[in-house]
Amino acid sequence: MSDYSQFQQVSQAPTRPREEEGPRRFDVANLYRGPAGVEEAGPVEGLALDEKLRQAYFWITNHGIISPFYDIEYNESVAKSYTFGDQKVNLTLPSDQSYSSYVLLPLLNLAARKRCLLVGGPGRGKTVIAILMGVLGGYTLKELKRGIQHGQPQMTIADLLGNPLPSTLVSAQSMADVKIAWRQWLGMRVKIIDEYNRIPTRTQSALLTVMADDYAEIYDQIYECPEAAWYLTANDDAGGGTYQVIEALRDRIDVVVKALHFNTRFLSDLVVRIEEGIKPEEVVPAEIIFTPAELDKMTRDIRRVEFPARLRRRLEFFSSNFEFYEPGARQFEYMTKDTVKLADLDWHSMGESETGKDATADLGSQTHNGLSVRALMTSIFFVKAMAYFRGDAVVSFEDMRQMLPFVLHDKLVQNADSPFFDQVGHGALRADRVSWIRNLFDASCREYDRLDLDREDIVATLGEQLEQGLEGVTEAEVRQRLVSIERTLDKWSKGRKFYGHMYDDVLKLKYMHQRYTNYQRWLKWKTS
Amino acid sequence: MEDVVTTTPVEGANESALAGALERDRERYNGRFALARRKHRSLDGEHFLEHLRDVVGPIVEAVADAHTERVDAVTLALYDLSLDLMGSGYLGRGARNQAIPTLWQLVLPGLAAFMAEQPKRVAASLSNAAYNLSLEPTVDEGAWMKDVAGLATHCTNADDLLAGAQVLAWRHGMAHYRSSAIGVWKELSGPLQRVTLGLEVNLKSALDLENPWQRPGQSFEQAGEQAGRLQIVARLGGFLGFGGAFMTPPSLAATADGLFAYDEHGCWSIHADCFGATLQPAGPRPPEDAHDGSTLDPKSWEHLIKAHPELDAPGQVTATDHTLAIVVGHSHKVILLAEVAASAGVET
Repeated sequence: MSDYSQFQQVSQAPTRPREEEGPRRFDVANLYRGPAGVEEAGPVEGLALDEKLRQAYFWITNHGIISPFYDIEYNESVAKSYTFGDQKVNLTLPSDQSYSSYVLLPLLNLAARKRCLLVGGPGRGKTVIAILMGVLGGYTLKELKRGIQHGQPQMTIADLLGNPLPSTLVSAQSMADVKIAWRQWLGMRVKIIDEYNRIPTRTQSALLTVMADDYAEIYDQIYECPEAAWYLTANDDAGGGTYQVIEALRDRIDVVVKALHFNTRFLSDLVVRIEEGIKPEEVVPAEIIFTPAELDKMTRDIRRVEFPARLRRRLEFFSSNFEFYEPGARQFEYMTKDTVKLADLDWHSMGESETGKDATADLGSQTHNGLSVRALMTSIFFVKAMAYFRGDAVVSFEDMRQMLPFVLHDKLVQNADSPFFDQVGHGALRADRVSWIRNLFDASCREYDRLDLDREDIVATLGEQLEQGLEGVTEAEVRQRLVSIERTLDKWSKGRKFYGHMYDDVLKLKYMHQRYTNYQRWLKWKTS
Repeated sequence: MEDVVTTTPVEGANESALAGALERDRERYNGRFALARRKHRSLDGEHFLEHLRDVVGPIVEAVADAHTERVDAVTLALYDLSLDLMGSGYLGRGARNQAIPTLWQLVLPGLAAFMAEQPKRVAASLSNAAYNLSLEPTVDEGAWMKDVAGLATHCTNADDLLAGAQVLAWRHGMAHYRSSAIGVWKELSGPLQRVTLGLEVNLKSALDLENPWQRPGQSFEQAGEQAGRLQIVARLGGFLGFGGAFMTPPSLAATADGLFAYDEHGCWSIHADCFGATLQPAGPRPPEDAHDGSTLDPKSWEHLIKAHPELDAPGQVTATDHTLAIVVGHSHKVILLAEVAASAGVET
């Protein structure tokens, strides 16, 4: 038995026990299961990868990182809650398996091969958790330490990517003849950039190419990087630091994870660490380390997790609230916040207070931007990853509700001047963006339910009709559908305040109208 | 960090097999104790030594009598198991449950041959079994231990012993294991089948085992006057505050497979046969295909109530092919009734 064995105990499967389907069978073999360990611990052949991922999670929370938090909450029944303080903040005791974001999200990022930003004050374990992810990804500590890119003001592109071999520089007749000694970290499948906000702006641009497009370029030479899970650390999530982080680089971050504070009631655990002289990254058990093939398979399996249409619809509705900006243009398609941003105008000069809408109820008033395609795709991926982690083949509502705040943390730019934040109890949401985004999502769902969109969604109904195709649709039917669209638009245009979620609906109706119009013209030509 | 194994001989264990084994690998044993203390801060060196001397010692001595070459392996296995179980409060002074200490003191020394063969598996499996039996309020784990000790002379290896012990667990009241225990029993050798169940596999025993209320191998005369009559065979459950299962008087439900009793806090499956009866957790509510019990009409059940006055209160009833379950009045108990049957044939 090694000295590290007590730190290398892996939670026994199943780590997320489920109610058995069908009548429960009682096996007398279970008579011999109990407090005395009978089998030797070790890798279990044929263990499902989601189970292995959960084992990795529980190993990290039990032995790796002291993160005794459950801020990603799941409930299978009504949860007890208690109110504290003058702000009347709720503490909930979750009734189902719940998780610490600080451990879970880097792990999901490893499985999903995305880009995770770890933020928090110095000494809070950001680099340690990134290194742990690297070890779980199959790298030795030596490889990882050599591969970590440490942001510092003197970092050049050559420091980051590599140098041309001097001999080839001298003898080269053209750029194509120059050979580059590429930095080894470029080939790694777990990449760690420490203090990325201390990298000079010019070098950030080179980093952006690697992060965004998985290739590095110097002297016209290209190095194709393998798909990787990225971990970037920063002390400041507002994009500040020694150098301002360029927006394009910030936008490539898929998920932001805050290092939670240290709960001093667990100081005894720190004492044990000191006494043992052991670092968790040195004693990661072999049975929770993933091979490259396993990581590849996990990513594929995550993609296959089903996203039900009824949940997708709620995500559509939620996302539709933010882009629309009525004072931004006179052409309908351009009435977006992006139009104003590109014109580099001040929001207050746009007369946003004159729309007549209830700014406290209008979700769009709380942001300065909408969601990009990239943000939506990342959201969907992480929502699927969350379901996968929990061993589910289908995304649940709570998976979506729990993941969106972390993925959209840096994607939704808050309008801190919105009257919403002046309401009682909402001021803290200016700082607590996770709760703010979750609040946005909850409010969006309430509105979705109030509009009864699961049962009455004319745009969805007309859309499904169109998706069935135009083959065989007669001119009479086309005319009927055109009239339906026109009647709907007519009804909506009369007297209703125009909120963000209606914007995309109106544009979709216009799209459908155009499709039918073109088809009608073709039918007429065909029959003439 | 204290050394639990020192050059000073363990008191009372001078030149014993255990003392010899510990001394031969002293550093290793001390290292293991030190490591275990980091995990289980309450582990006390003195108490652990006491346990080694008084409990582990006799087992190792028994092994040494016939299997000297296995003393070191047995010592190591029991030492590690002791560290885990003592650290978790299942062995030693102030053990939270006496089943495992009793097994180690009264049963394991008599199983020396099997301990020599597979020390960790035999000790851990039987320890877990003793603990699990002790958790069932209707089961006497002491009687089970006595019968397991008696199995030793009929078993040739550890596999036989552990399989026989499983069947005995069912025989001593773990009714929920009936089906799988019968499967295990059928795979035993003939002599072991007789020792554990009183009969061997043949056509008659197959008939005996179909009816859960037919005591295998029991003749009509042995069944007594009650044979063929509906009688109370078990009372299960009780108020949660008094150690029972139900917060409120339970309701009943049944599926094609079994019986269930539930209240608003949870559901329990009911398992009963001629050897005993148990309740097992079955989730927050009965299965979807379960149908609720009917209301007990005192008039229809007059003869039953006359025979069993405690049933004289409005309640609920449900049944399977062989067992009737009734809840009455404000009682938190589930009453089971069945016809005690005679054997279809007699094994001699």
